[in-house]
Amino acid sequence: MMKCELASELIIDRLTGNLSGSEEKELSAHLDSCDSCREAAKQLRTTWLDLGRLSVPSPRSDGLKRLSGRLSVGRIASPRRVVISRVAIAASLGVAILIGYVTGRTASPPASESVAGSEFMFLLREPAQPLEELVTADITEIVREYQDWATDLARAGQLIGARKLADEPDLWLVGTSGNRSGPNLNTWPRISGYFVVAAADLNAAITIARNSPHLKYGGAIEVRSIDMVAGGN
Amino acid sequence: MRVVDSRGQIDSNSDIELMSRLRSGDLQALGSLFLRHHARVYELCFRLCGDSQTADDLVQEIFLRVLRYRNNFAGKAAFPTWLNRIARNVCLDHFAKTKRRRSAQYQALESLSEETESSIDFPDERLTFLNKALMALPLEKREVLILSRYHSLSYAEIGKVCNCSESAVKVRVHRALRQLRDLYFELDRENDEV
Repeated sequence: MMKCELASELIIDRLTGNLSGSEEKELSAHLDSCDSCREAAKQLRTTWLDLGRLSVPSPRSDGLKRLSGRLSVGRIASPRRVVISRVAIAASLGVAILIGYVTGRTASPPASESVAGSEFMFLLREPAQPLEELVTADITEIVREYQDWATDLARAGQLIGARKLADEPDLWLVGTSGNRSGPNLNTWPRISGYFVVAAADLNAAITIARNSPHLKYGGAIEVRSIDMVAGGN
Repeated sequence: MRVVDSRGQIDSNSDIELMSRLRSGDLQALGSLFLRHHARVYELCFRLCGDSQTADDLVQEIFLRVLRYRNNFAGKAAFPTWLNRIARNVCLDHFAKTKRRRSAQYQALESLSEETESSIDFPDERLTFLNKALMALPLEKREVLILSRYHSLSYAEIGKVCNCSESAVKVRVHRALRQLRDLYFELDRENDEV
């Protein structure tokens, strides 16, 4: 004769579909003769069935569109191209969001007073040699790193401006007549955007640039001092 | 990202074929996998976190991880099992980041207390209570119960998703269902007394 303790387990195994044929027979025989286990089985079955009545709202209908928006759209030829595309997008997004941040188009905490000193331009260049390990990098994490870096600069009052350059191919005007030339693949690595930052001196600016995730993800940063004497604000 | 062919039909490739295409760099395969599985993944996320907007966001993250870890899928486990494992990890990461796991349980427990003090006569209110009781379960019990009840997975399959033994799953499912039953029928007794 089956003990109630075992019957209690088999009752649940029956509900979850984990009961063998022989166990089913033994359990049925036990329930026929045990009022307390029969009552327990009834309660557990009611709970189990009512769980099935707990509905779930529908997911958003634009889920696929959202997913597409977070990826480079379209068919890609190889993982190598993914690297370039994703890092470029990450840099672009980071800069674009930052622009909204700085110009007040998005909510932002108040920045402290701008630090005194010189001004520098960081020209962000895309990776010249894509790193294979970046294939597995999560674009959302990359973007967040860019945002964090830029946010810290803004809060410290060191961020003067930033712009993302359009993704269209390079267009060069050359010669005395300004003839159009390009896209010129020899201009790789391309400049994808720029930051203007305030720093005490060149070394301080280099330190800021070194903390950028752009270097970590294979990009290069050209650090240029802005000629404060020649003009400007 | 297209997921239908020129006749407007859903891609009929198997999950394994789609993953193979995805590994080759075809993002359309990810779209097909999304259409095929996102509702089920969303349901799992919603039942775990209890919030539709969060569940939608988690689904996005889950399919981004499918892309990110596409080379890790060797086809040894069924794709839904692999996907469930990613979904679970994403949910756990979410709970760890927001500490929602703890607060949700506390909120659910608080709600439970409020509900049991009121008179509940209607079936829908009973279901509301049952849902709160489900949310109040510790995550390790809730996840196995959800996978068993709503995804019809065997104890062994749940073990693969949750990275634990079949026997451990069995114990957790048993305890979870008994705990729910006790709460559910305790409510009945209180209503009878009122």
